Amino acid sequence: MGVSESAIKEEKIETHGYWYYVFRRLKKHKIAMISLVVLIIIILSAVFAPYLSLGNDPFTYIESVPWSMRAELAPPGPGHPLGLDQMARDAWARLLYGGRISLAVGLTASLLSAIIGLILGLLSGYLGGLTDTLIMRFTDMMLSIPVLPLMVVLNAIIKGSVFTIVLIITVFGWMGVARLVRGEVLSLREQEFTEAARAIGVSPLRIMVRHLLPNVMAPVIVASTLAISGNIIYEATLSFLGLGIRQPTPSWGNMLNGAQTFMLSAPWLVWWPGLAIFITTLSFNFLGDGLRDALDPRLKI
Amino acid sequence: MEKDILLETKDLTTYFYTDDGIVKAVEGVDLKIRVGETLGLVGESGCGKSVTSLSIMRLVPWPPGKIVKGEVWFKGEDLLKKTEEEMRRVRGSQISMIFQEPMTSLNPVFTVGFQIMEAILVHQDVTEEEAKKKAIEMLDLVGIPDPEERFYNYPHQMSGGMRQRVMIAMALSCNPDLLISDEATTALDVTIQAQILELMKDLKKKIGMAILMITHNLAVIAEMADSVAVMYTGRIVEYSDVKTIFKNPQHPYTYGLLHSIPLVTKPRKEGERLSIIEGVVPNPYHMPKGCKFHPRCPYATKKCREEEPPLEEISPGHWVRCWNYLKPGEGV
Amino acid sequence: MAEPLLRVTNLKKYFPIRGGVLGGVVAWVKAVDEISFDIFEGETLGLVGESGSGKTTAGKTILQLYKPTAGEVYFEGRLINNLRGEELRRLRRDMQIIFQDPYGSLNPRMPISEIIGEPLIVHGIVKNKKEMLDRVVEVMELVGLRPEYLNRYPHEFSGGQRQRIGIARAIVLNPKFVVCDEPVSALDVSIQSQVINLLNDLQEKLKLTYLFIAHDLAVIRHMCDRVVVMYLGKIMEIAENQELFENPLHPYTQALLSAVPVPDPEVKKERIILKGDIPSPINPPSGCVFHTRCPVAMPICKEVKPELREVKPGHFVACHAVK
Repeated sequence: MGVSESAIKEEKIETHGYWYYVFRRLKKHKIAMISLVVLIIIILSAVFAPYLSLGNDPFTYIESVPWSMRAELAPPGPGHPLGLDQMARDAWARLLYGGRISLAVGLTASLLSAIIGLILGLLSGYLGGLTDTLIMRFTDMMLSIPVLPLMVVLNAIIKGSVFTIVLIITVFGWMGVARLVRGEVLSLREQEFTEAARAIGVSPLRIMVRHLLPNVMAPVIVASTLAISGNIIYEATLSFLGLGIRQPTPSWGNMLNGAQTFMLSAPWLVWWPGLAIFITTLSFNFLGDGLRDALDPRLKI
Repeated sequence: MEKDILLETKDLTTYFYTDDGIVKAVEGVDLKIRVGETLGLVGESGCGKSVTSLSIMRLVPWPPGKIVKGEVWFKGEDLLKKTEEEMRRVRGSQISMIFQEPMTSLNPVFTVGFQIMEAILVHQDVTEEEAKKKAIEMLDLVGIPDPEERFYNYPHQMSGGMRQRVMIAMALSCNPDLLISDEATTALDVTIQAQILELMKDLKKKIGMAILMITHNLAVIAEMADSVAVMYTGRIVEYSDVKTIFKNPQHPYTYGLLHSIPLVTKPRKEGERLSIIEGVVPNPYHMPKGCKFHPRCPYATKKCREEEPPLEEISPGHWVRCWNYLKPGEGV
Repeated sequence: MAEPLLRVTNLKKYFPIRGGVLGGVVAWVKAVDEISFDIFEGETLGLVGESGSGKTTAGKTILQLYKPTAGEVYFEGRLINNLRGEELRRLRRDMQIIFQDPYGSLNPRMPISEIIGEPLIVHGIVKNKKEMLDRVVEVMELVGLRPEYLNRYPHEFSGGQRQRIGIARAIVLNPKFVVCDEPVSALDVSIQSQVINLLNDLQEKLKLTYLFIAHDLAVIRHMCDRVVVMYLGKIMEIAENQELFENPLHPYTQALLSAVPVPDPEVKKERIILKGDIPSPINPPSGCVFHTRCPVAMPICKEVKPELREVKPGHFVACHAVK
C-alpha cells in the first residue's frame, strides 16, 4: 500500500477557520454582544452626527427659544431635545459632536499605543539582552512619570487640541501593551515552531512579524479594547480639569466641565454627557471581557 | 475455581455534551475485574479508556460529561447509586488511582510525607503519630531509600521515578482493593519504567490487590495483565485473557495493532516496511455508521458498513465485536 | 572508507545556570559532554538514550541551533561551527530537522501552504507564489497529504497529519541531512508505523541521511543502520544495529535492552534492574558517569573516565570492564 493511499483514507473533517470559532464563542457572551450593538449605535451616531443633529450644530449660539425666558440653559423642547447649554448652543448637537471627539481620541490613542507597544514588546521579548534591558528600563521610566501634574505644567504652554491630547495619551499609554507583548513573546520564543523557523533560516525580523506577531494579537486586542474606555475617561478627565480639549470644540469631558456650575439649575446638561461616558466605557469593558474569552488561544482541537 | 469478582461494569455509557455536538466517549462498556487480578485496558488516544476509569471513580466533570446509563458493581454495591459523600469514602481507600504526571498530581507546597499522611488520616481513624509511621512504612514499601528522611522531601526535590513511587505509596496507603493506573508509566524513562513495573508486580504479590492498568503500550500490557480489553471509539472490541489476545487476536484492529509495532527483538531486514492500519481514528463528532472500525478495516463487508456488531463470546472467555472475526492466516 | 557526510568531534554543550545577586553563572548543565562520531551518506544513525542523556541537545547543537560550547562539527568536510549570517543560512538548505511535538512545532496562525512554503521564500528558491505553491503541492503529495488542504490551519489536522506537515517542511528544500528528533514518540501507535514507513520511503526517494533520535529501542532497531547510546551527555557505546542488539557490551546498554518490555506475554524476562535514579546533568558523577548505577562497577570507574575504544571492528565501547 502506497503512502498516499493511507492519506486518502483519512476522512475529510469539516472544520472552520480561526475567526469563525472566535465569533461563535463571542456570541455566547450575551452581555458582550449587547455591548457590541450599543457601541455600534454610539459610533454610528458619532459618524452621522451632522444628519442626526436636527439641523443644529455645536457652535452656533441660538438667539432665543419660544419656551424659555433666556436662551442660555433652556430646558428641552421641540427642535432641541436636550435643551441649550450655558452658551445657548444646542446640547444634543454638542453631545453628538462631542462623541466624535471622545471616541476618536479613545480609539486613535488606543490604536497608536498598541502599535508602539507591539513593536517595542516584540523587539524586547525576542531580541533579549541589552535591547530588552534598555527598552524595559525606558518603559519603567515612562511609567513613573506623573502625567496629570505634567499636564498642568504643559497646559500653560501648549494649546489643548485633539492632536495634542491624542499624543499625550499615546505617549503615556503604550507601556502596558509593551509589557504584555514582551511577556507573550518570551513564552512563544520557547515554543518549537519558533525554533523550527530558526532551523529553516528565517531572519529574526521575519520571525517577529510572521511568527510571533499573529500569535500575540489576541491579548493585544483585548488590552486595547479595554484601554479605549480608559482613554475616553482620561480625555474626559483632562478636559474636565480644563487641560484637554478647549472650547468651543465639544467633548464629553469639557461639557461636564462647563455644566458643573449649573448642576442645580440645569442638571440635564450634566446627566447626558456623563451617561454617555458611562455607557460607552462600560460597553467597551464588557466587549473586552467577551473578547478575552472568545480569543482564548487554547484552541486545540 | 473462579475467583470472586471485585468490580463489574454493565453497559457503562458516558457522553460529553459540547457545543460541537455529543461525544459518545464510552459506549456500553462491560468489564470484569477479579480479586487480585490485573485487567489491561488498552487503546489509543480518544478511545475512551481514561474516561472509563473516571466514570468508575465518578470523577467525570459535569459539564460537559455525564454517565448516562449503566451500572458499576463494586463489592456488591452499585457505585453509580452512591452519594458523593459515600464515593469520597471509596476513593483513595477502596479504589485508588495513579496518573501519568506525578508532578501535577502532587501538591508542590507540602512534603511528600505529609501528603501520604493526609491520605491516611482522611480515611482511617488513627492518630497523627500512627499515620506518620504508616506513611514511612509505605515509602519503604515502594522502595524509596532512607524513608525517614525522604518523608520531609518536597515533590520538586525528587525525580520522576521517585514521585511516581510516592504516588503509588499514597494510593496504597489505605490498602485499596483496586488500583487504577492511568498511563502511570508512560512518561517515565525505560529503565525507570522497568523499576516501577517490577514494583507493581511485587506489591500485587504482597498485598493481593487488583489492578486496572490503562495504557496504549501493548508491551506493558503483555507483561502486567492477566486479562485484556481492547477499546476503540468508546467500545470494547475484543476481550480475553492476555495470552489469547496476543497469540490469537480475532478483531482486525487488535491484529493490526499487534502487527504494526516494531519489535526490539526482531532483527532488521533491509527495506522492510512495517505493516500499518490505514486511515485515522474517526472524528468523534462524525462517527461512521455500522462498525466504527470499518473505514480502516481490510476485511470490511457491506454488513460492516451498515450494522454495528455486538460483543460476542466466540469461544469461552473470548469476546469479539466483529462480523468477520479472523482466524490467523485467513483473509476474506 | 568514504569520507563521512557529517563528523562530530569532542562536541560539548553546556547551559549556564545563573543565580546570585549579580546573576553570575553558578553552575553548568552539562547536556552534551564531549561526544564524537561520524555519519556517512545515506545511512541512518540512531541516537538513543533516556532523559538527561543529551540526545536532543546533541541533535540541535549539530544543526547549530545551539552554539557549541566546545568541539567541532564538520559537514561535507567543512567546519560549520563558526558560520554566521548568510553562510549559516545557506547551510540550512542542506541540514534540516523534524521535531517531536506535532502540536508545538507548527505555527498555529499560519496556513500549511505557508508553513511548508516558507523555506522556499526565505532562501529565494522560487520566483513567485505560483512556483512556491507548485513545489508545496509536490511535497505534500510526497508525504501523503491531500493538496486540497493547502489553506488549512494546523488545528484542523490530526497529530499524524501534523507530523507529515513537519516532515514536508523539512524536506521541501531537498536537504542532504535531516535530524529526526523523536519524530514518532508523540503519535498514536497505529499512526507511528505509517510515519516510520514514510520516513523510510523518503530516505530512499530523496537520498537522505538521517540522525534518528529516539528513546524507543524497538523503533531504533527497525530504523537505524548504526546506533549510538548516550547517557548523561556521554557516549557509552556505538555499534551496528545487529551487533548492538544481539551483543551489547556496555552494562548500560545491556540494562536498557533488558528493561524494554516485550509484547509477548509468554516471554519471562530476566531483568537487569538498575538501582537509583538518573543523576542530574548539573552534577554528573565523577569518572564514568554511569558508575553510580552500574551493576559491575569497579573502583577505577569512580576515578577515571573511560575512553571510547574500538573493541571490535565498528563496535566502540566506553567502559573499563570491557576488554
